[in-house]
Amino acid sequence: MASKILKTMVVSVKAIVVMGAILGLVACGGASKRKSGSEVIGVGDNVQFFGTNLSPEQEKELLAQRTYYFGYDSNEVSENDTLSVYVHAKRLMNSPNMHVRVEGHTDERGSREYNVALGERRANAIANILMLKGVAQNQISVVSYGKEKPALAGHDESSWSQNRRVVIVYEVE
Amino acid sequence: MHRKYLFIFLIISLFVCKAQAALYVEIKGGQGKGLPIAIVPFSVEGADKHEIEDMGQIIRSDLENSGQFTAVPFQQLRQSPNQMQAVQYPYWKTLGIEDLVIGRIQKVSGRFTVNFELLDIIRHNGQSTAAKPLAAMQFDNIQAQDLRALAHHISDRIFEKLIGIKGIFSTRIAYVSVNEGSKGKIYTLEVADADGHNPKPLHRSSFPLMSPSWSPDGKKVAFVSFENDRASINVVEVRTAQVQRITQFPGINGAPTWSPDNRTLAIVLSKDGSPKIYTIDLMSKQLTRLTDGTGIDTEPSFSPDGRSIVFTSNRGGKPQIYRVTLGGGKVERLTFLGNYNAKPSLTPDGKRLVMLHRGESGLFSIAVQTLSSGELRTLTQASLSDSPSLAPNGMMVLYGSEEGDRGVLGAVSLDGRVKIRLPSREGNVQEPAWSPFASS
Repeated sequence: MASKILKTMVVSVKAIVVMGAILGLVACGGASKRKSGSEVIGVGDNVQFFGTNLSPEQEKELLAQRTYYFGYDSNEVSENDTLSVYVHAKRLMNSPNMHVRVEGHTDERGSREYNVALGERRANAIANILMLKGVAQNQISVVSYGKEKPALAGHDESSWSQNRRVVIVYEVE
Repeated sequence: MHRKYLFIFLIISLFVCKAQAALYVEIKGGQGKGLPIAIVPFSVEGADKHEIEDMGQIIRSDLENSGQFTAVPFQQLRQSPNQMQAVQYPYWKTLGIEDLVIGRIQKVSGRFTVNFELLDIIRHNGQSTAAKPLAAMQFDNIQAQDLRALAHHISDRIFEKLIGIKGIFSTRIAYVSVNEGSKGKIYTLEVADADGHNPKPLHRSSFPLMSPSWSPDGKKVAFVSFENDRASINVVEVRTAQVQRITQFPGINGAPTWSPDNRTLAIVLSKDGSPKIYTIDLMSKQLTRLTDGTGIDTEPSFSPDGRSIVFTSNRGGKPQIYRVTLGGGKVERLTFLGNYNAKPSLTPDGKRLVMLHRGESGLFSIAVQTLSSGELRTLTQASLSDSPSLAPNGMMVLYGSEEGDRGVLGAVSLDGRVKIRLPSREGNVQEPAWSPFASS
């Protein structure tokens, strides 16, 4: 009996570690320089779970970031952005009535509907981090505008790099 | 060359003032290999010719812009007959033309009677003037506001008689115009004549509008809206501008195109994960999923026989064109050249594929691929083309392009012979869609 419970615990810890390895690896790149080690174990503790002990000022600063940029034809979330997404996840989990719209955007190159699909991949990459960190699916809606709503109108990489983005918009906060 | 260009521009500008068109036409490039033809300005009786449409000039522009004709500019004509008996064949033979169009407009108690004749110059013996015309027609009881449409109709008759293929001068185009409003961008779905005249707004939104597609009966346009930041597929009736919502699932609701029988839309939904191709029966609203897998599938377009759908997919890594048959669901890859092929459509004979193509140059161009041989030909060289849309006779492609900071429409003939620009007077125009023949 006891061994069975222990076994279950080991399995669940294993699962958490694997999940953490998949999801948290990205975080480790940026976050581990500040503090690393026990974050995947302390599931019960929000601050620990989100990877580091952040001061309220640091959290505020990370929450102020709402836009995340992407490489060409890529939906890989930058290591530098994950901590900010985690803090948004924490905020949403602590406030189940809050709702965000995750908007995906692309640069102007290529066909319009294919860009809508690419933009959705980017938005899903951010939305998936939120959900895997525990945010309820009904707190998130995803929309891709493809290349229809560029942030900058220029026709060169300096504009394109600003247009390949995901924006978290708080619809209810 | 410059004079010719300026002349065309001036003449077209005049029309624009009269019709208050949002778009105007400029010939951007051409090789002058079309069938040589002359159109004589139509004579006008009983009315001030400046107060009615210049039908001869409209016909001349139509034929020239098709890429299939080289029309002698009006100012080079030294004779202007309006009756068959007045045609001096030796003079017209010296111009090197094959055919001549003459016509007359008469105002009779408030309405117009219009006649035209198409005359064979090259095969005429040069002696008798009693030759039978290739085509001769009379139109009675025409209202002033319909003279322009009648001119396009006459262009269609001439085109079909001489080229053997239906003309597209009476068709229409749909497109999205984007203008800066006081509270941000305003998106308008508009329809206009194929030459950009008579624009009519169908639907307006502060959210993006996308992907217009004409129903095969020409009565409706399907499009994508993002009202309240949620994607939806809608159908608007052209005559009444009444909008009906078709789908609004979570995620992508995109890229609607019609089946040849008007009954079904091919659409893209991502409600179950990756964007996939579906069909939706417009009466029963029944959804059928046609593609599977984890990749992106989008931009479906029915084959002319309605039995298969070509679409864009990145299942092989980069976007390429595939075809899925409706019954069996077998998927076959159609494009192998270049690292980006998207937005496919098949020519009316089903033998060629028109698409957005990026080759080794890195530029996005409009390209045509012959399916049997795999031979691919690029038709445009602009760096930022998109949204190719085929004319219903398969001879021209409309597309979106950038010029400076403005979105403009371009058209190119499938043989690459003629390139036309249709910029907007103000603001941007994008995503053109060519109507079918039976346009309402």
